[in-house]
Amino acid sequence: MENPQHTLIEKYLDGALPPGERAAVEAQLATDPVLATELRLHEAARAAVTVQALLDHRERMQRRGKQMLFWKKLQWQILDAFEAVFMEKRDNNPGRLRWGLIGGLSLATAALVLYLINPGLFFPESNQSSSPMVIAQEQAAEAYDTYFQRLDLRNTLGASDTDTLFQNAQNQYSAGNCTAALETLEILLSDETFERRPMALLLKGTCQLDQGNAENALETLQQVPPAAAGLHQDAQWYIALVYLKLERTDEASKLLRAIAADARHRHSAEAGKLLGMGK
Amino acid sequence: MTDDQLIQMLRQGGLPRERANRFLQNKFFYLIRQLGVRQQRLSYDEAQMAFSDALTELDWKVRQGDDIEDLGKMIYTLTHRRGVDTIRKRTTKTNTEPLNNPVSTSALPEWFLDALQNLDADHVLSRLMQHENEQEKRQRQLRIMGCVLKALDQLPKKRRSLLANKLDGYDYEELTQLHGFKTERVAHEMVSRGMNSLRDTLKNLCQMGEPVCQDLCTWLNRKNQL
Repeated sequence: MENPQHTLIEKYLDGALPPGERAAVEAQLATDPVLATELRLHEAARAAVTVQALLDHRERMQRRGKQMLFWKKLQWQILDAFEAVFMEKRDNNPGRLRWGLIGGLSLATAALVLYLINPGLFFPESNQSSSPMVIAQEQAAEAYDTYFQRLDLRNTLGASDTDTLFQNAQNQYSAGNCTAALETLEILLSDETFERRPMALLLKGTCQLDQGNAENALETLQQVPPAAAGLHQDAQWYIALVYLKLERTDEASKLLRAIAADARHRHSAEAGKLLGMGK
Repeated sequence: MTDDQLIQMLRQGGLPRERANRFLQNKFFYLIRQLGVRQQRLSYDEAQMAFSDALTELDWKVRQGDDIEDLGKMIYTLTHRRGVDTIRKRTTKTNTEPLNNPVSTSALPEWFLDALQNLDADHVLSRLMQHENEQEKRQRQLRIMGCVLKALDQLPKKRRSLLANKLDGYDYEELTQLHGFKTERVAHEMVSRGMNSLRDTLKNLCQMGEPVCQDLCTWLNRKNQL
């Protein structure tokens, strides 16, 4: 239960008493020391609560401030680190931005982003090699039939070869007479001093392949030396076709990918198309 | 929110005051880095303390009816001052612990005493802390604060915070929710009991002749009215 005297004092201190009652309390206070002491006690207690409220408020603000500071501090420290790198410090002046560094890093970042989006912009061949193109086992025969054809010697036949026997072999090859051509080429290749050995090997290999003798064709084509440049590239192409004929599709795919990735290879486009057959 | 709205909310007390304080804390939090850390070379924690004290002081000033034209400028000024206090404290020893009271007044910042001193002239603390001699005035301030803190310390923390919330302008409905009372009547009763025990505690301290309460008790037991 509340003490009526306490209620009266509280109302008096709050200024909540009507003027008449207030005057009556003041008159009583002037003559009643006990009531006056009680009033002062109420005032002192209120003062104590004021102090407590201020202390509580300060504690609340600091607690909340600490919580906010936890993440903000991290963010600010990162900003400080960036500023240390990108701002040129000057005494008593706001720092100046290092535009050269910012420009350089921006370009590098832009290049990196472009590379991540489209690596082909920087390395065109990687675009082809990156696609997982393989020839499926069941497509090997179809691919071989579509892409195999003997060498077209019409251009090379324009000028008559000084070696009559080799000229004969080429004529037989062009006429599709691989049996005769193989016999002639065999004679030529048995001569250690024969100068056009890479071309002869290529003709022999493709004829063997044409006749369905893939194993021998592989052995012959592998003898075409890398030093023979363009002929070696032809040989690689036919080796890939040999693999298809033998249904060794993993090796065929691997070799075709290598050919397709080399933009300077004379069969690069064909290899790309062949690999794209299954897509 | 405009300054006028914020001042109104701060004066209103209770939840609107909490919202206004939160808003100001978020809006001016950057001062910790810009002013405290960069200009005054304080650590982040020191700057945060200075900023929190500045907001507490601003809240106090507004509630005491001070006329504040620009809250932002005032927060900047107060944060700067509290920062300077922190720098001073590093180099000088303050004379704020001459008392033998168990509740130390050394944890109180200087501005705290000034804020209480500058309550309106009729306020009991303002009257009690007055003295012509500056040194004696400071000693008296510390004794009175020591006595008040000692009395508060004898009350359970929950009860202290209930009384403070009531003074901060929370109504009984809000106090019921905030402190988990069953009804508003219970909240009312608890506040009333809290004030009674605080008065009893002050009375007991005077009866026991607590040295730190000498000034307060002399004033309480005066024969005349005020």
